[in-house]
Amino acid sequence: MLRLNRRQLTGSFLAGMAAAAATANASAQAPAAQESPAGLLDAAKRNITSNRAALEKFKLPMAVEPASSFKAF
Amino acid sequence: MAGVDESVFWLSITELNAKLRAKEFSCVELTRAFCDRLERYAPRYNALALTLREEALKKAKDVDSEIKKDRLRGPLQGVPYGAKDLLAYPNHPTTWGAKPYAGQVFDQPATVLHKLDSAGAVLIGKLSMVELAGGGGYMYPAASLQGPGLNPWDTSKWSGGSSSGSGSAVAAGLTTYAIGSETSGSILTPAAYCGLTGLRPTYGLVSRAGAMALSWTLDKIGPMCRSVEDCGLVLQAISGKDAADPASSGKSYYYAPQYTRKFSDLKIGFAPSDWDSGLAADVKAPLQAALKEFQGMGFQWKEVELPDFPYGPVLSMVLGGEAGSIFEELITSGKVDELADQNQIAGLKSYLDISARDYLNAMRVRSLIQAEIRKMFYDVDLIITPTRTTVASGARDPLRRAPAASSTPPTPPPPASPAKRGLRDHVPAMNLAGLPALTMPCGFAANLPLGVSLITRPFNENALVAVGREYQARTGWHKQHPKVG
Repeated sequence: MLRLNRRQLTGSFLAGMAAAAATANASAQAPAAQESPAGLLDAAKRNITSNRAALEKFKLPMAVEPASSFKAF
Repeated sequence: MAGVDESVFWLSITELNAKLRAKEFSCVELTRAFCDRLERYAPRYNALALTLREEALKKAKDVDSEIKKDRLRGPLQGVPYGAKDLLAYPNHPTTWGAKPYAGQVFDQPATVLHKLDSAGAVLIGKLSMVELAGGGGYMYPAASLQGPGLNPWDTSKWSGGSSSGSGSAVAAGLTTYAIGSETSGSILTPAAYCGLTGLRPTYGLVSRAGAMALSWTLDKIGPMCRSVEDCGLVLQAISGKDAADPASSGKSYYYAPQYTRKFSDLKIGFAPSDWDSGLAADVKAPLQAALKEFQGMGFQWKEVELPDFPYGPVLSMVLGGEAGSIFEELITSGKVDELADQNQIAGLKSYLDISARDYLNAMRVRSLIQAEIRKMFYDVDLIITPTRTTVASGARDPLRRAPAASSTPPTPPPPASPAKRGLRDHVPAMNLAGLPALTMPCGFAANLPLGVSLITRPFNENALVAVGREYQARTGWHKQHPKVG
């Protein structure tokens, strides 16, 4: 069983408080971070990752070649 | 000469040309009147990129001289028009709506402008557009050198993108027609939002030489007009083989809707869910009335829906892969940071992360999409669907979508509980398949226009025109126009 002395307990409590405050702060700032150039670039890159995942769901047999005519028929 | 009065600004191409031939007014008088109007009112809609008054009056003088000698070139002769600022016009700035290209000057005109010049058409101005045709995925309508395109029906609303100025100018009677372009929705959306008739041609039917490239395998150029007939006449003039465009199909379009099969032999595909689920009540009633009108025209009908594919992600990967290569220098030089819209900047930068494998996989799924859509058209001749499921949004409102999202203009949100896919992804799906589409005004909601779209097989534009012309003869929605001035 883990035993903590009073100093360790206080330290652990304060660290927990700080972590909680940091999380709350981060959530409050999320929209602003999203609007910053770096945040927007991250979001754009995540969008590519999600598009890639959507495409990877398709099983593509070797015989399926890339479209070389850019209209159906 | 009787002179030019207010009514001429709303006349069709054929009507204007007839008046010029009858010498009711000269081409110089007509051109001057249109230039005055364009310069006076276009700034109200942020629609004007460049006035070409001097060049237009010179051309008009030539046209007058030709008409005097009975050297007639067809219905476009002497009729004023505007062109999206994505098309090169020599010795003047061609900005692509974007600050990094504000000083860009070409020495040759785009092929479409050259063809229209040969037909005697009079170019009076270059019209505003969303910067780089919105290829990076813009969040705000203000993503343009001229600011947000404002809708002549309600200037607090957006005119749609990316052919924003073309939409506003034709709707406000500042030009008789305009040339727009579509990679994924950029003709259909502004045409629908502004109450116009817009025709997206089959991929390869109209040359893109001299036009900004956004996606080599998706870009199309087409007319935005106030009637189906005008779209047909303009398409006839701008279509055809062009060695300068590697994607040119070599085919031409001849305006001949009279030779389309009789309506009772045509089968139209539709998805009932498109016209019902998830639509706001004020939008639903006019759209359903439009469908009912078509159902009374004697066609055969069949329920269809799009095959199940991730159209948005496929289109996004194809467009992103190509745009990343096209604009690589803009992006790596840092000049991309001069663009107006932060989302566009981020979107374009992110395209450099798209790998060859990503792009090729998307193009392989595109092959499957094309094959399935081809099968869909074994059973039907045309399909019909609402162009957009909402009216124009606020001109200052953010567009609802993820950054660097799929289609050039934002895709409408899916219905609340979509029982079926329907045809609502028609914009990315049919652009991936390179198929032609025609949007026509079909009513109003909240005093803003709504559009209905017809889509058909490649190079079957005359079927669109034949059906669309009959719809417009029966309804007259296309004859309504906003109050200007």
